[in-house]
Amino acid sequence: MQIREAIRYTLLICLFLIYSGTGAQSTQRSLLLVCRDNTTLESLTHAEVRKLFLGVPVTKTQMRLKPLVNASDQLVTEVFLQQVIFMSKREYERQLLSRVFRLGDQRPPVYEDTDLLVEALLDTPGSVSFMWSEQVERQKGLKTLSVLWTDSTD
Amino acid sequence: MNHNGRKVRLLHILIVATSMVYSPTSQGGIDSEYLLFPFLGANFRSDLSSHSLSHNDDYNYGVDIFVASEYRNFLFLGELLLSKHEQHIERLQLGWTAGDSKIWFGRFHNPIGYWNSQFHHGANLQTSISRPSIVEFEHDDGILPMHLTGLLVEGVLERDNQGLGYAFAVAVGPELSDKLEALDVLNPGSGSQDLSLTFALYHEPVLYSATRYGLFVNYNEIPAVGIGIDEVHQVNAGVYGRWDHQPWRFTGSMFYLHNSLQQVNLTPTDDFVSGYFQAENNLDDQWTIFGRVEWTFAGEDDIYLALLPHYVKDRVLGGFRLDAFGRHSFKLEISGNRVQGDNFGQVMLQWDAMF
Repeated sequence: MQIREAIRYTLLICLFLIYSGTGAQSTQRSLLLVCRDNTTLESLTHAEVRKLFLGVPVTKTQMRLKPLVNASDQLVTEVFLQQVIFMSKREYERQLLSRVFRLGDQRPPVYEDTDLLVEALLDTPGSVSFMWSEQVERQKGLKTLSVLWTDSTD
Repeated sequence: MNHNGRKVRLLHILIVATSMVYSPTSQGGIDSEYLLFPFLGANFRSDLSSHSLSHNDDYNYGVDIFVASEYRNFLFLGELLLSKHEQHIERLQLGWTAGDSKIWFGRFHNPIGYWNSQFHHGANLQTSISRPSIVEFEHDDGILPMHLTGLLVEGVLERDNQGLGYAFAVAVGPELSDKLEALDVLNPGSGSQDLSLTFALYHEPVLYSATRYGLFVNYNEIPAVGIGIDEVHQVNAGVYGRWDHQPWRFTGSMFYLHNSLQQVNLTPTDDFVSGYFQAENNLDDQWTIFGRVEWTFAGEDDIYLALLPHYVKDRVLGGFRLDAFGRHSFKLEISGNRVQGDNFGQVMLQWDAMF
């Protein structure tokens, strides 16, 4: 009986340590708007980003911008749609299709692989996408245009 | 149209379809979107009177083929409907983007109201199976010009994250025989068309959102020599609203129609009001329920509606839609309908998809 209680207390202490350790190591996470670094594009407003990713043609510094949707993880897409586009995924797809069918606009290409997304960003002039801050830190040749959202819960 | 004529027409359509599908996807700076909307549906009608113009049951199947291409500021948009009952080029537009405006030339959808400018022929995009009768397509016994051929300018003015949309069309409209016939772009000399003008405005409380409110006015001169009338001069004007707040969506519109039948010794005029209201609720990601009411005021002995007896004057309907297996939807719709001199019930079933 005493052995069982000792094991139970030991497990509880381990869980507490793991939990508090995780909390201490948590870092602030930001969603960034990015493009390749050798471009004249300097910044975009939230309204311009929303317009661009809804399929509306946007031209800045005499360059037609091309939105690329980052779907490499479900959370990054959901946060982007909720915080920047203000739509659920279903509404967003419906809205894009409506524009295509009604006005002949083009839907932004969707990338599920981060490497392919970065490759497209580097290869396509005027291309713009969104990524977590730690993803951007790991990539070369990209620059941050703006902070779209910051996780304020630690 | 004789048998050989149909074959030639089908051949024309297939050539256009092939060139649409095999045009470059993203070559030489050309970006293209292709969409296919297949559908299969059945209608069952009950309580038809003995002199009814409608059939008890019928079914239909087909596919709507859509392509939109963009090269710099140049645009191309084509929509082709191939079904059991008809083969039509529904839209064929060449355009130019100038800032937030688009200038189109070709055959396009008349920008009257919400329904006709949003859903077109892609059955999968609209929640219900049927369209409100006031915005029914010409070849499905519609009473208003839904397709025009000519010039269309449309765009959105942005201010304080709100939008003011506009559309202006100068075009030729349909001819009236036993039904309205829009210009056939594959055989433009086959009919007799005249002037059609449309002006529309709408307000988006949040720019590029689904919620919007608008108004429109449309003037048509519709040749009808085949039925003993020189022309029908028609003015239709109205308002509409679309309110989208998940899980609810509401769409409603009111139309006022004034028609003047131009004849040698006589020019009778008449007018009536028609409208619809549709409510939709997304129960979850897959199931949606919907209901719609449609009504016509002062249309009982209307001289224009007498020429188009299939028009559904009043309707109450309810139904559901199941979205499953990706882009497939299964729909059921039950309605009570009143046409000139007849009341009947209708059950509609439809599968449609988008690829």
